[in-house]
Amino acid sequence: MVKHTKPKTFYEDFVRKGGPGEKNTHYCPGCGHGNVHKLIAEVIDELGIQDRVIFCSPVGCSVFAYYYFDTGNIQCAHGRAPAVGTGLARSLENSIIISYQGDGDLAGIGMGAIMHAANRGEHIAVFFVNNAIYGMTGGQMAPTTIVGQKTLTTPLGRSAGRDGFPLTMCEIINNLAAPVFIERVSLGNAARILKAKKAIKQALVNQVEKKGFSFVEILSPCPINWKMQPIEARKWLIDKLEPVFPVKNFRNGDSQVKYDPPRPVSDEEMKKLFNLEKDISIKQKEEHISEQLVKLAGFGGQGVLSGGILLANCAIAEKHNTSWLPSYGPEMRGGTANAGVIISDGQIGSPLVDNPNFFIAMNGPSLDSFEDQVLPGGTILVNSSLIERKVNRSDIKTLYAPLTEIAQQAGAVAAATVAGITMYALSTGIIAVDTIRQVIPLSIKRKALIDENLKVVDAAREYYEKNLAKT
Amino acid sequence: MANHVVISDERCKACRLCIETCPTHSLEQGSRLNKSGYQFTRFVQNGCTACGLCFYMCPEPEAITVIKDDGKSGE
Repeated sequence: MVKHTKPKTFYEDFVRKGGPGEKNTHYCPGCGHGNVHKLIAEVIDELGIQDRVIFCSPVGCSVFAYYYFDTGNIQCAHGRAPAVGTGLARSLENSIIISYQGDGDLAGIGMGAIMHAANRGEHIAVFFVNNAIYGMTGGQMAPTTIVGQKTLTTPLGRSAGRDGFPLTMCEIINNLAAPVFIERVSLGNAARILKAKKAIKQALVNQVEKKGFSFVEILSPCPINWKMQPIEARKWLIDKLEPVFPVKNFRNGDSQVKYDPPRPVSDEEMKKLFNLEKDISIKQKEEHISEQLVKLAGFGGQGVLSGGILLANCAIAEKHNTSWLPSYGPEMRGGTANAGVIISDGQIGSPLVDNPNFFIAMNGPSLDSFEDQVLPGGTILVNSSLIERKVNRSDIKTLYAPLTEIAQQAGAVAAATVAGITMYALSTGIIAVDTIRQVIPLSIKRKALIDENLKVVDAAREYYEKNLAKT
Repeated sequence: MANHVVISDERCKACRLCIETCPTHSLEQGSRLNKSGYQFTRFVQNGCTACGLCFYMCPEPEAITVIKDDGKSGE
């Protein structure tokens, strides 16, 4: 009877090194990663969770874990496996997330990612392989290198006064409230390896039972970079590493905080958040519309972005698919700003409006920038209050209206784009002016300005009907 | 068949951790080289109990298989 053999969670062949038929890992003789891989694979077999596991591998020697584990795999940016794991755990409810990381990955570049994932109590199992050195890059000092340990970059030994003390991650994470399980284990000998398997199993059982964030630090040898024989390395691990990194359980129990997983916001909550408690009745038009690529451009403070939102909200109210994409500089006022709005009855792929078929130019520089990009046959609405020149092109329709003055006379100079939107509605017929009137009270943040904005709509309609309707 | 360990010659990287670990001294360093140039370990029947410690000590997934005598023949 076969009592111990290669776990089924491993692939039959490891294709990385030698193609089909290759069955060896890429790890050096005596490396601890192989031990940890075997333990994790065995536990996955025992729990019967192979098709639920997503293995997040790090940067470091174990970067190629996806060649070995026949599970879901994502190879993560350096140190970010806990962040990737967070996204997976939150979006795939039935998945079991493993974040497998080395000391440079977790305690060096990824320190921020692991601390915040632990602090949030994410439902992931972290296996932290600590070999006190940067292995893959050739043996430089790591965050967990012990004082006096000789590495490539500390040839005389790590000095606490110069390089700091090694970071003890279990102790650090044990200061946080959210984790449910924290244990440090060792690969020093067979008895320790069997204990390590128990800790790994507990961490994964915690994921199956939805208990929460589980952290297992595994002291592991790196014979090559420690410049030792494999057997000597295991002894050094027990003699030198274990006194600095005590092998013990730090926490095993229920979390002090209850995990509050993300959930969709209900329509009721959404209405409250956006002050949309008033219902409006908009008549939906029967006929389909042609896709509208609208660009509004001007300087910050002219209401370019909020004008775009108003237009988008009107289109949504009329049950069209809509996107709104703002683009602006770092200044809140006075810089250039533009907003692209796409209105369609089909699906909208990209929200970018590079070539509009309706362009509202609120100031001179905007007309200069975007005039040439308007599609042939499109329309440019020029704010003649601020733009003195005429449009150069002859293959497009042009409308000239003193948008800023119309808004100013109605008592809301900042609502010039509302005048522009109103004229867009009248010129294209895509949305009804009545829709704009109904949406303004919902779309405008400063309720004191609702009446002024409605006056701007009326004034713009009056101007359009008098001066532009026939063009 | 009695308890024993099957060493996969080509998988062994000759780290000797299994030899050091085996409580019954049933594993020893062989004299032949495998294709990767490692002087692979070999099994000698010396009272193997199929305890599996060599399996857990070995970092390679497929280098060691432990067979336990279950009283049936032809295993």
